[in-house]
Amino acid sequence: MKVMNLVQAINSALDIKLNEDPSMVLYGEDTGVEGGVFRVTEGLQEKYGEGRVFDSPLAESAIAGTAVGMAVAGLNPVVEMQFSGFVLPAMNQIISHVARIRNRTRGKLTSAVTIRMPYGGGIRALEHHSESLEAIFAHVPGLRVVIPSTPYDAKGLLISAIESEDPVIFMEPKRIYRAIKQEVPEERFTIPLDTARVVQPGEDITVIAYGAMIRECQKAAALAKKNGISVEIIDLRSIFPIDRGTIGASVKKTGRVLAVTESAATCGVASELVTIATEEAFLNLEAPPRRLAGFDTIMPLPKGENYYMHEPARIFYEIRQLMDY
Amino acid sequence: MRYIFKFPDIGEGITEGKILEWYVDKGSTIREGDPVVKMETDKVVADIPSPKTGTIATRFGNVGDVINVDDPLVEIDIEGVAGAAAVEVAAEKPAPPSDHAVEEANFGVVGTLEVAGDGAFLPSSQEGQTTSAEPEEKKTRRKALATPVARAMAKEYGLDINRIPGTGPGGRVTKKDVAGFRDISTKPSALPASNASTQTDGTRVEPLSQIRKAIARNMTISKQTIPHMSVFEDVEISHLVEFRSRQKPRFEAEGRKLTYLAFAVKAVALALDRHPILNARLDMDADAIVYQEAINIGIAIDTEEGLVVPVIRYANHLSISAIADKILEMADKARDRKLEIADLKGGTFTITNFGAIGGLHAQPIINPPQAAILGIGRLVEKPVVENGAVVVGQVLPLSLTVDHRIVDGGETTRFLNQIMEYLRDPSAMLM
Repeated sequence: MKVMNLVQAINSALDIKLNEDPSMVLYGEDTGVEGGVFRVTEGLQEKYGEGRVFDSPLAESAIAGTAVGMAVAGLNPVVEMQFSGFVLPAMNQIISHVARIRNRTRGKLTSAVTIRMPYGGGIRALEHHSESLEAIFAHVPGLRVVIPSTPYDAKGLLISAIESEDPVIFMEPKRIYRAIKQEVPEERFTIPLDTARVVQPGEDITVIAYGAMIRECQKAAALAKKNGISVEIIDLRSIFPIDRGTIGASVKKTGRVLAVTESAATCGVASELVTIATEEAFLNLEAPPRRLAGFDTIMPLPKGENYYMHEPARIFYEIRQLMDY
Repeated sequence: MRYIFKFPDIGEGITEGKILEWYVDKGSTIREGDPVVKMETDKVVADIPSPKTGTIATRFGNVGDVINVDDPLVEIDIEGVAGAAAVEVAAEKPAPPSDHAVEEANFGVVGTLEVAGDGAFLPSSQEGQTTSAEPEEKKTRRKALATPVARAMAKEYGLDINRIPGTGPGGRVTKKDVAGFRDISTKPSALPASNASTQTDGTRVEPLSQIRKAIARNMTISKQTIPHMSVFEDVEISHLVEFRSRQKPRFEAEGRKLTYLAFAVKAVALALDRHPILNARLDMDADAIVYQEAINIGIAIDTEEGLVVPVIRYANHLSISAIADKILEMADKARDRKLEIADLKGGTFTITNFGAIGGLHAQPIINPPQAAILGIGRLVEKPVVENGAVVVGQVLPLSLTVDHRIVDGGETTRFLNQIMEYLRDPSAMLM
């Protein structure tokens, strides 16, 4: 065991897979010499050489497109989009090819690409650096969408993603890249890609979130505890497919549910979670399920970011609304 | 630190209780072991002691409220521990300055990242490393299944939907259930027992007290599941009457009371020792008779709230005077509503001494899961035939009811004969 932050845990996962899988290649903008703008791939080019860890041109469509070709040809590409906001030029490659090569070839070929990207706000950057686009990917059939919230989960989930036969969009909450440390095994381990995790058990209300919002929900749960409210927090981890069983069991127990996301409310992940909770536990609901999702606006510039991001008090207010219904 | 004290499970399958009296107010200080609240359960009235020393921060529930086991009673501010700081999130733990998060501005145009301090990290996980799955502790707090429309109806009527029995698919509480429950009584659990509502036609509707509810449930179970058989006898006890009148002044001088009941308890206990089937119980699930070694005699005591049955433990090993003292103690406790769960637990046979009020014979109902119950009627002077001559006798009527599933007529009457023998000649109880 070694104390790692998210960046170090992801680096460890990439290191382990590069070491044991000779077909794996790792590339993206600045991932080689520089080791990535967030230092996630630091030291890997030195260790595995320019042939396997390298810098791509500043062309996201090319990054995704070449990855499809490599995957079809038998390599195991793991690519990085420098920020999730930069992925938009690659969307045609991702939706038209990465997600549907298997279907189009009737299962003869797969494009088991892993596409990593830092996402989310809270670091006072520009709007393209702060967006949360997970709902867009989750809406595309053929892609898995995974988001860790701890160093431990980041490592176990990323190793599973790289080994998966399905293309995986692996989104990294950059706000907590270095803000959370945890003991993580130095050796290889995996966490299943489609399971949610109960972060803390509770009796009165279920709060479902993922990524950087987990930490904010934990702070809100501590506020709630002082007010005699017992909160169960679920870390979704897999945005697609969603672990219906864990959500259903929890909401059946508590009877109340709040879904918290940074990304915009309309047609978003929180709406999906509310629907699933209602389908799974309709007869147990003691209050209408609530969403605390982002505003339906473009992510504000740093000056306005604090108004946009959910803070513990805002989450606690929603918890109160559900309890007082 | 704040500690939430919940209504504890005090045993005996008790799941709910009614708040009778608060001993503390918000802001008052309390020591560990001091009583917090007086609760009425379907078995006893009990003071619930505080597990912690501190100041009461919040009080949940009002006098008259019925609450479930595990519902919060009070929130206690524990002394010496800072209140606001005790947030149980790893990252939030108070720590030396080096553990505080700092902002790293290395990334320029791409933003600023928060960096965790050296000493602040999350607890680790085991997931994905080992295959052993930890068994999860499951709590069974009953929450109703219901559609929103039924919930809304219950809310409108001021009813707690979790208390309404559901008859729909899978035990779902339907609109009909809510309406039916409301018709039986409005807000039954929220009304203190003394609060009765008088209808326009003069009918009075009084909600059941916890004790009355328990009696109703037990009597129904007894009559519905146990085939009762009763035998009646009269026993002439002039020797006992004379013996008691000789001993009585000595007892009274010491402020004690020597009742006939004490003799009856001893006689029954000794007879049970010889006829263990009357001290047994039937276990239908196991198809077995369970013979109980302890002979614990329950004494039915009439109180204003209803019948309670405190238990005299190991009565076969107690002297008659010790039994007499015990009966007096239990009767006082019962009338003051001070009986504790321990006083009511573990009875193996019951005596009901209705004759102290009046009545000769009766058909007592068995206190399940016991095998028998003895009723003692009023002592009367009656002409009896003794050696061919009519004399004035002291006659005590006895009514014995048994569970005919495990006790037959022969054993029943032999047991009763044994009791009568002891009562006719109390000196036999000394042997």
